[in-house]
Amino acid sequence: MPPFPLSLDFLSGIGDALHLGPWVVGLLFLLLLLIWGIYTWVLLYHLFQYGTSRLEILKMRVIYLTGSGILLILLALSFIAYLVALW
Amino acid sequence: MIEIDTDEKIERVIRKHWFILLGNIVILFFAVAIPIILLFVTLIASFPVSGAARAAEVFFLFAWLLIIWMIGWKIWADYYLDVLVVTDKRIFDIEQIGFFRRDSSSFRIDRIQNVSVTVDGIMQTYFDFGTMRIETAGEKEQFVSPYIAQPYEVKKFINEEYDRALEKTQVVRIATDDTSEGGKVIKDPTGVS
Repeated sequence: MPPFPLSLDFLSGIGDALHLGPWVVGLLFLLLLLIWGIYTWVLLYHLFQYGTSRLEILKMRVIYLTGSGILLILLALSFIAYLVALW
Repeated sequence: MIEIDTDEKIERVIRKHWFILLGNIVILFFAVAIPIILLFVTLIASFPVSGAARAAEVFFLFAWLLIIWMIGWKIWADYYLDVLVVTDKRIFDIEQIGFFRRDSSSFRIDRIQNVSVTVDGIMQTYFDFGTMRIETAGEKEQFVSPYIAQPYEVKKFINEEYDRALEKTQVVRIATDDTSEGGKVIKDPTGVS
């Protein structure tokens, strides 16, 4: 059987390349939280105020915060998992 | 919210067609799908990766998803806030550019002189969207709204609103005093109430 023409070996290096150490990953986590916080403030309290209906604005705020909340919890858990794996 | 008078009523809110969002949605879809597929492949292929490296992969995947989530909302806000609002008195043409630039202009419906629609190409014809131009008698003579959904229906609606606004502003005076023309109905020559 001929070998698969595309080697997937390069994928094995991705994890090692992203394994930057707890301080760098921790700082990136904090930076992302800061960017998210500023972005959220701008989006919810500056941009969405221009919506045409109060109900629509409320719905969008709830959807945005719910999605963001889930992603932030998963991000925090994965960071903790990273620290635990290092320890 | 849009700054309208207390006795003014929003009749209709007109946005661009969803087809305009499609290109961005496809890009976002691939931006989400590709890293998930790559992570899945590395799991299936059982590469010799340490636990910490695997956890780092997952962390960066969620970080990437959060960034994509924020970019998606930025695209949505741009789409959602580009709007044409028709009230019973005026039309507001609002364009949101980025986070901090917002162009807003309004004109009275009874000052409209012409509404024209251009539907150009297969996509616009098939999905029913196009460019609407509203000419007014004001300083900014032409308002252009590109890619709006159902442009012919919107044009009809604006024409109907124009007729209604014109009817409201035309005052009919009935002469009642003795020196007048004896109860003749006289249309106000100015056409303004």
